[in-house]
Amino acid sequence: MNEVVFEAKNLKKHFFLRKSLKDTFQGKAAPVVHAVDDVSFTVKKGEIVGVVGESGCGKTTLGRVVLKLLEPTDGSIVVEGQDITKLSPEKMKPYRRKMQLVFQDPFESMNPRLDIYSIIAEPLRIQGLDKNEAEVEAKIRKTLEEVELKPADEYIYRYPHELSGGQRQRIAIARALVLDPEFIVADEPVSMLDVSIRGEVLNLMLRLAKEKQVSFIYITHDLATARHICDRIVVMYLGEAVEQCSADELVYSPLHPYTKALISAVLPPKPQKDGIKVILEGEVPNAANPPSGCRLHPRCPIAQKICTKESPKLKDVGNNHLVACHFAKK
Amino acid sequence: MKKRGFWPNLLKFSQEFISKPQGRVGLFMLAIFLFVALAAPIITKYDPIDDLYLAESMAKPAWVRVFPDNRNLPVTVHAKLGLHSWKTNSQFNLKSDEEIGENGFSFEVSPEKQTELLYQFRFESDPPGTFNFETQYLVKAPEDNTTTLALLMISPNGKEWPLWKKTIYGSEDETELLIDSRQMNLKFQLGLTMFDEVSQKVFQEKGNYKIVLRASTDGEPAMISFIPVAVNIQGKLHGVLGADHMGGDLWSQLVYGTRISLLIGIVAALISVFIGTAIGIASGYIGGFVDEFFMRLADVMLSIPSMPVLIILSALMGKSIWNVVILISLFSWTSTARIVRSQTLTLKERSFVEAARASGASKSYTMVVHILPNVIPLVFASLVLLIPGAILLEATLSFLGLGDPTTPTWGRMLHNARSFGAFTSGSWNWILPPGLAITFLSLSFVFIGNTLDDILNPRNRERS
Ligand SMILES: Nc1ncnc2c1ncn2[C@@H]1O[C@H](COP(=O)(O)OP(=O)(O)O)[C@@H](O)[C@H]1O
Ligand SMILES: [Mg+2]
Repeated sequence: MNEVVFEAKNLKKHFFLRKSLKDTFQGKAAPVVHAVDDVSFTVKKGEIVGVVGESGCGKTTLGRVVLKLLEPTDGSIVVEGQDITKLSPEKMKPYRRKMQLVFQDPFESMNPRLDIYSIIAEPLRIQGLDKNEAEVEAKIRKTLEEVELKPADEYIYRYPHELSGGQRQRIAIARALVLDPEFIVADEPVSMLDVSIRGEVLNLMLRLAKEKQVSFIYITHDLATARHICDRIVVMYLGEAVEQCSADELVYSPLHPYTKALISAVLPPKPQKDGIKVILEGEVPNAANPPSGCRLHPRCPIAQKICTKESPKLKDVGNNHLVACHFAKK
Repeated sequence: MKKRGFWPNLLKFSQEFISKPQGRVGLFMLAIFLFVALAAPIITKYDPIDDLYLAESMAKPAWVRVFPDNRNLPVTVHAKLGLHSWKTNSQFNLKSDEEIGENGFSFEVSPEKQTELLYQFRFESDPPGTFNFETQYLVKAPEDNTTTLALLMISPNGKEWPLWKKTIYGSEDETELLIDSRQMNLKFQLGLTMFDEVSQKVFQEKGNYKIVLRASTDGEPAMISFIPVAVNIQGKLHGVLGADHMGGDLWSQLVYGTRISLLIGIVAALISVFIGTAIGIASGYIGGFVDEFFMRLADVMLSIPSMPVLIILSALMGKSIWNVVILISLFSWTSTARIVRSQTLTLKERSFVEAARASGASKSYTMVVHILPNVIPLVFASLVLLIPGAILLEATLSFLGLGDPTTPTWGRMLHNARSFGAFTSGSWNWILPPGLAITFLSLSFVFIGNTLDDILNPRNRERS
């Protein structure tokens, strides 16, 4: 349980945008979107790590950088102790087996011209594991049953458009599972599903983590579901990780004002706590032009002068609880 | 692997296609053209290039006789008088003889009876300008036989015109025979002066004419073989559409032109769509320098006026329809490339492409497996829409005299019509048919292409 399968170290992803004509005349530099700025976390075997934040805070970008679908601007990605940050696509190929992903939109994530068999077989074919077609079929059937699409016969030759959103998302998970990966990045896997089936899909992930020891990086804007299935949670704000600790600790004793605000927005206030409802004002600032110092300071209820100048370091306040706030105390 | 989804989809697609009036009309028109192209040898018996002097230069269509002014104009006659055409007296039997040639026939002559083959036909108009007979014969007889062959025509009033007479000693090998009404010796043989026109004299009257083939021999019986006797009377009226300046059949040129236009249109469109799809997918998916290069190339191709360049190139490359096909393809891939590129750009962002990448798929794998099948429907519509452009471009090049002169195309018909005065003489029967054919064939593809585009192009469709 304590074996580390994945480690992100100071990951950064900046998007360099094109200068507009106006900016060129005004002598401004080209805008840079700090989509992910200095995010570190580790994932242990069988663990579900949540990445939580408002939309636009860089969660999807983080997920893609983690899988090296986007080249990180800086930092390193370590899979099973091996730094894969600088590997060429050729050398990456064996590592791709260990890391898979599930997308937000189950309607977009499958080629409408392929049947379920071909969709799930695809990773095997790409990885050259399709030498024996009987084995491929057996593997596909087994995987379909693992994602609770039983009997497999009923699904295997159908097309994506014949299935419901929940069924498709299970197919997407099956496609990720078929290579027996170490961890799966699930980017808002339930946000497009009907509320009634969200729980089923989340429970499926939970079961797979427990029974198959597959780790998940569960990306969501919904703290409530994250709390339900995650072991650890990373809270992101404007590309930065602002707080990181176990799910229970995060919910019961949040330290960062942003986390507090998130919690009071989604969870009913706990009477045993101090009861202060934190509400953030204003809009999420533009990621291309983030505020100086602590990125939250324009919206933060407890901001002081220092917050506008100095960006707080992520510090461990004990019990592996990391928080980046000048005023956070246990 | 089973493909259960294909046939039901095709059925649904065809129903949707048929439900659109434009699609129906386009399909119907195309079906007619396809039929004409495939059945060309059945629809017309003339070769569009090789059969010349079938009628008088610029003869009008035969059916204009329904107008009183044209009632007496002579109509072209082309008959091949073979085994079954002749009336025979029962003393000898006419039988098939393939030895001398296709559909040949032979008969036996003996001293007892002069033998006679007879063919009768009606001629009810003014005398034609010229006429001729063409055949081959072969005589097998003992050494000391003297065989006489003769061909004559008998006017309605009973006057005999001995057009040909030959005395043969013993046997004679295959010999060609051509009797032309313009031959000097024929005039003298018939007792006319050199200023008389044989056809004017022979076809003076209206009524039943007879052609008679006579043979006689002394000694032992002789075998005489003929290939079918071709009777050609060049009229001022000819066939379905009349004749061109060389007496060639315009209808057969139009009919065979359908084949060429369809072939050129489809092949050129296929090639350019192939090029366009490959370039479109590559630039859309690979992006960067590749994209920049091909798109600038497309810009250049679009902005240089294609016509002058095509004219120069086809003059340099020589006159062949394949050169025309290649030139057209080189200039028409750009539109497909652009459509495919933009579709590729959106497909590239679809998450199934990213899923394949996450499994380690190479660029070429993704392009072939995920991008290509999803741009095919779009490409299909653009293929059909490119065909009329190719047909028109080919017609234009041929019209300018840059086409292949040995290939019967509509453009070549129009080119000849312009060069040989059809426009000044108002030969509508020469100008209108190829013009209309080009228009309607192009239109049929435009209709079909628009319908396909309506159905297949995602931009025109609600997300289902
Ligand atoms: N390819 C890109 N180029 C430029 N900016 C991008 C790109 N992808 C994402 N961004 C920007 O990065 C930020 C984070 O986006 P994203 O990771 O999608 O956030 P989330 O998934 O949390 O909603 C946003 O401001 C977004 O506009
Ligand atoms: Mg996102």
